[in-house]
Amino acid sequence: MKKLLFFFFVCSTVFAASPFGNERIVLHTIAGDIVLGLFPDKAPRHVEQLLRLARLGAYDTTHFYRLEPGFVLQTSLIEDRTVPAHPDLLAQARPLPLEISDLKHEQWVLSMARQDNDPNSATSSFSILLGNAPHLDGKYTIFGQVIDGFDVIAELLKAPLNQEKRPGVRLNIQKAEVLTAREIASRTLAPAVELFRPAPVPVPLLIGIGLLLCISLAAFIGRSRLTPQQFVSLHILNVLVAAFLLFTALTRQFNTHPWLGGALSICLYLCFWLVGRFEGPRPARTP
Amino acid sequence: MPKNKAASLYFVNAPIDFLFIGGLSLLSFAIFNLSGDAISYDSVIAGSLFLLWIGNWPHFAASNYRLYSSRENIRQYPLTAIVVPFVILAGVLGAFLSPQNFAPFWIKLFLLWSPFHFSGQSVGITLLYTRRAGIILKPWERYTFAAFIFLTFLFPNWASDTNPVGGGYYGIEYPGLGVPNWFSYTAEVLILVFGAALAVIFATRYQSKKERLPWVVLLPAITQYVWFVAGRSTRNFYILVPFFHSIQYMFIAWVLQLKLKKDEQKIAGSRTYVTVESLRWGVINIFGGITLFYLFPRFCSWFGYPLDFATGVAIVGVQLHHFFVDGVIWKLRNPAVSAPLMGSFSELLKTTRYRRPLRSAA
Repeated sequence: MKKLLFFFFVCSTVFAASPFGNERIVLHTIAGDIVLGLFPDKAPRHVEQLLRLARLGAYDTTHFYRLEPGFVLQTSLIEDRTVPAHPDLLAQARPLPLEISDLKHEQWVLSMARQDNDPNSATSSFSILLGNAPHLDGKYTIFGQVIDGFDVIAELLKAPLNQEKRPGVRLNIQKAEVLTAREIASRTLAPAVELFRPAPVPVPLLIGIGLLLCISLAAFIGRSRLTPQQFVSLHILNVLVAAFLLFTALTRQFNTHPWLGGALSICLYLCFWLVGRFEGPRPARTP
Repeated sequence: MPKNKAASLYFVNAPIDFLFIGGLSLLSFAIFNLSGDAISYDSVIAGSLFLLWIGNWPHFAASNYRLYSSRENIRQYPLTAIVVPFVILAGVLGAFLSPQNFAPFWIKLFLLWSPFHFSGQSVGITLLYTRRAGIILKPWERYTFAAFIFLTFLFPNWASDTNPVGGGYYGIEYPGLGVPNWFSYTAEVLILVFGAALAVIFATRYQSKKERLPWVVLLPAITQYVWFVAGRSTRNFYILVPFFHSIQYMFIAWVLQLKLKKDEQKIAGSRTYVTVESLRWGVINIFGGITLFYLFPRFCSWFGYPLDFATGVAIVGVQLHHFFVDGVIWKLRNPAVSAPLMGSFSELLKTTRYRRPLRSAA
């Protein structure tokens, strides 16, 4: 009996010490599950709306549309789903008034997104803080914190980014569920899945580097037998191979910036012009 | 008058030279424009597929034949003959091993280089005819010709490369370069500027009467303009441009082959010689073309690649090799090339016999 009483005492102490409400949101993402604890005492209206939206399935098939390492991983609005939502469901995301508390914008905190010019415009998008951001304190509502799934977030952070600092692949939230702490404890959460393996060194790049090496070695070994023109031609060949490797590596980065694309184009034509200098007629040997 | 003026301005005669160097292109351009929609896309494609076998493909084989048929050529251009094929093969291998990340750039490289190569040939033919006419262009005149010709391909290339999305070639999606719009606008303006400069050069020389430029010297530049600038807005005309380029090449390569063989083997000129050698050379190149463009891609596809993809990658390799080979075997600075190119068809028909040297009694 004493043991039982002690167990209840410990449990009540633990639950009383927890700043989170009993209900949590579990995000089932493509990289695994993330558990979000909520602060109903600090931001009651925000927590109420997020729980309601999650129960209605509003976050299903949304995604993390913004990833800024060291700053935020942000969900999209519920309008941005792969499965279109009914207008009635979208109407559930009502603008929320700013709810300021003593909580700070620190790593793993959940901060509600809003329009820059209107503090009372938060609806459904929120961010997971990836680092401390004191400049956001008092300006954005903090309504929760990540409790579990840190390895999943770490996996999501490996996603390649495009020019606009957006993930190059869609980081889907397949489903968002509302579960109690007890329900979560009785479940096995999906572990982190390795989505973005470091790319192996491309074989063509290895071939290209091998070619450069062979041509350079040939020029070095045969330097006494080669005519000056042949020696120069081997170097031209090296320039062409190297230029082509750069072309394969840079085009997709350069072609979205007209100036860089233009420079690349001119460099390529100069390389073609260089081929005109390749292995001209053998110069007459002087006796 | 320069010492190396040819006996005749034309390789064969004015109508034949004009026809092969650009007349056929201009005639076709006129027909396409006059016919409106009467010439369907399908019929042009069907026609061009036939022309591939007799024009486009053999012209690639002809450059290989010219390089590899003589040991002296291989000895003279060892890097082009031996090293470059390995470099190209490495590129083909890379494209097969990395269809997503390497093959698109392999294709793009070819698509950028091809019109550049066409322009190089047009400049070469221009200089060849000026030399045959016994005229030496001043450097600035030569640069004006070259600038006009190269700008005619840069303009459409840059116009299409403003889009970073690119296009497709044998099912392989290649990227665009995303160049600024003003590149193509500038090229378009410069075409007009250099076109006017060419007209001034021509008019000035025409008035001087001393070194009057013959019309055939202007023909490659005009043809190139029609291929890439005027022909852009003519429906389906672009499909035939590679064929027109091929026959330009084949015409000169044919005359060179006849003249070289005649001189090297001291064969007496005759109609029989011209006919037999033309047939022999033509058949070799047609079969060479089939090997390079029909059999080689099919051989590559045996390794499990779709035929379309294998064809795209393999024929780009063949054509890039051709660009290298052409870059060395036609250098007019080389007397071994320029001397036979001063010959004319009538010399090939001369019946004067070479005397065999008498064997010594010992």
